[in-house]
Amino acid sequence: MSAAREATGRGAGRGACGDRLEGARRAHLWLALVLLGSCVASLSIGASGTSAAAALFKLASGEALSLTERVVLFDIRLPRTLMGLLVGAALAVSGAVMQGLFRNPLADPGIVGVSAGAGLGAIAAIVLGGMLPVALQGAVGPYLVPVAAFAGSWASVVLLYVVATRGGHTSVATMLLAGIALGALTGAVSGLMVYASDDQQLRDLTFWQMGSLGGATWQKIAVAGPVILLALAGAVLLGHALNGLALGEAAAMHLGIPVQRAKRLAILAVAAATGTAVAVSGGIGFIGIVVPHLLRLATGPDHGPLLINAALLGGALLLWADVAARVVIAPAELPIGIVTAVIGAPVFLWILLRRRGEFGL
Amino acid sequence: MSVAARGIGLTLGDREILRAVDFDARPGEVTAIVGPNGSGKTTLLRALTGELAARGEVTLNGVPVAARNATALALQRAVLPQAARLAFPFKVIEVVRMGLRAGPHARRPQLAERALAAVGLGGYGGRFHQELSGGEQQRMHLARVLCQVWEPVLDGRPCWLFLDEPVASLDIGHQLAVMGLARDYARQGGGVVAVMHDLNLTAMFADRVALMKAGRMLAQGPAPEVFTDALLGAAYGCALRANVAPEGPVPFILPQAAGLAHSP
Repeated sequence: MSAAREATGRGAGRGACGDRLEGARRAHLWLALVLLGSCVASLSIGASGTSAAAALFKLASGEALSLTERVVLFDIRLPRTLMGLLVGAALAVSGAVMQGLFRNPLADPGIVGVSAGAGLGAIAAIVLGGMLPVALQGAVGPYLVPVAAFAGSWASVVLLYVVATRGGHTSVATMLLAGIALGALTGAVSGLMVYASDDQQLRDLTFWQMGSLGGATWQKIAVAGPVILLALAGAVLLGHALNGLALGEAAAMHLGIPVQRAKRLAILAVAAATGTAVAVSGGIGFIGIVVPHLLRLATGPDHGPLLINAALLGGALLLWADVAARVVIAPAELPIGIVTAVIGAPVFLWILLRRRGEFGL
Repeated sequence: MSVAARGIGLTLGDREILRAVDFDARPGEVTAIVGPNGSGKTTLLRALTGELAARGEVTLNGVPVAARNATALALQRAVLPQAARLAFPFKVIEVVRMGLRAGPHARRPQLAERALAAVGLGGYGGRFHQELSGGEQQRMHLARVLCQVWEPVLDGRPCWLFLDEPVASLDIGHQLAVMGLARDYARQGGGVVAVMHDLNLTAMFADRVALMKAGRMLAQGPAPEVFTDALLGAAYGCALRANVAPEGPVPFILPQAAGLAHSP
């Protein structure tokens, strides 16, 4: 409340009104610089002590890197950094798009069961994938888990939208309760899958459920990268439509927005981004709620610049969460999902407390 | 170049909301749709704007509404809903600019401030929409809608304002100001179709009135022809007396109760 009121006092004139959109656009550059710095930090900080800056300096001065440096930087840290960047951007943009689609700031893929739906798809692919004919396994191998996770998240978003939205308006209570039901159902089926899995599958699942960027490989980036980038590009096109939808579906239609097409694209983008992110990095929560919320406070709710800024800040935030996960109990690693939950859960409660009157909760 | 509806029908479940409704509105005029609660006024407006797919045919400036996509419609008509609940903390000017961006004047950013000034909200642009009163929010949305079709006539074609109860939560001063805006828009060649509850305001500002009851069109024409004791009584189910002020032809309506319109 207070931030909004303070800003009101400052911005009565015309210049101040224009400033917010311009400020949001200027933030693209600042956040890109922050993201770049985060990438360097992510490449430099780790158990081996190899530094990206030192290695770059060596390369620039024509000196050859040692084998250890090459392996640590190019085979371990670089794919991990790129994966963090992609997953962070995917989760933050998914959150921003879902919040625009559902017209409230509490919609987050993790909280309302979309990540759980993607998780069920991924678990089913890990456990049941072995039943496919060997020739088929070879052909679809690296794509099976992401595609199944995409199917799971898509079904979850569609189900949630059908249950919680009526006449273009979403009931927050219904959405959150439907999310709980969806989470419980997918959790139960996932549990059944885990129960039926063998030792190797169990190991895969355990890594995966905790959420980590530790499993990042160039092969996974080759599969997930194009899908996430495509989903992000689709999402960024939705800025104007999501602004219109903030007025409700009918008003959006009167503003010339092809509402049904925009909704289909939004659902597809969220499902692809969340599904792929969950498939490669497991259950990482709260990025989708923290990032858009901070950005709305700082630069306003216009979805045009917000979606781009969310991608940049989401990538940076997840890289720092990953750095924290690596150094807090070094040389062991914390699951990154724990770090994001520690930051994100209080933010979620804060939003809820600030706006509970508005939601009738 | 008008709004014309022929044989509009809509059934929801087993309830017939609209029954073979014909409706006409001409540019240069304010056309009011009046009638008791639940008579189908808002539903008719939603069918006219293309929001609702109903039986029959609606044409806007001679082209069937159903044949146009949302983007093309937005260039020729803007719609003020009865109530708009806006998610997220947008500033007033940002809300108004949404209308500007949807219409043909997206390259004239100064129109947003002019529209706000026109509805009496000059200087409110930097405020957050949720901090305005109900009446102010309604006027903010009117500014958004005005911005969308700012020029009443564009490329020789009239533009249209569809207003659903535009003065519902306004004080009498702002009611008169907003209805005055609507009339000015019409006088400059645009078309205005407004769902109204206040019969006296309607009589003062509407060139033509469409009176509805139970999903049917009871009468359509100039206010003095539609606002008769018999038609009003039939529509509203109570005794109403249409009077004419000594100084002009505009009728005013008083309920025949509590001695207010007692005839000796």
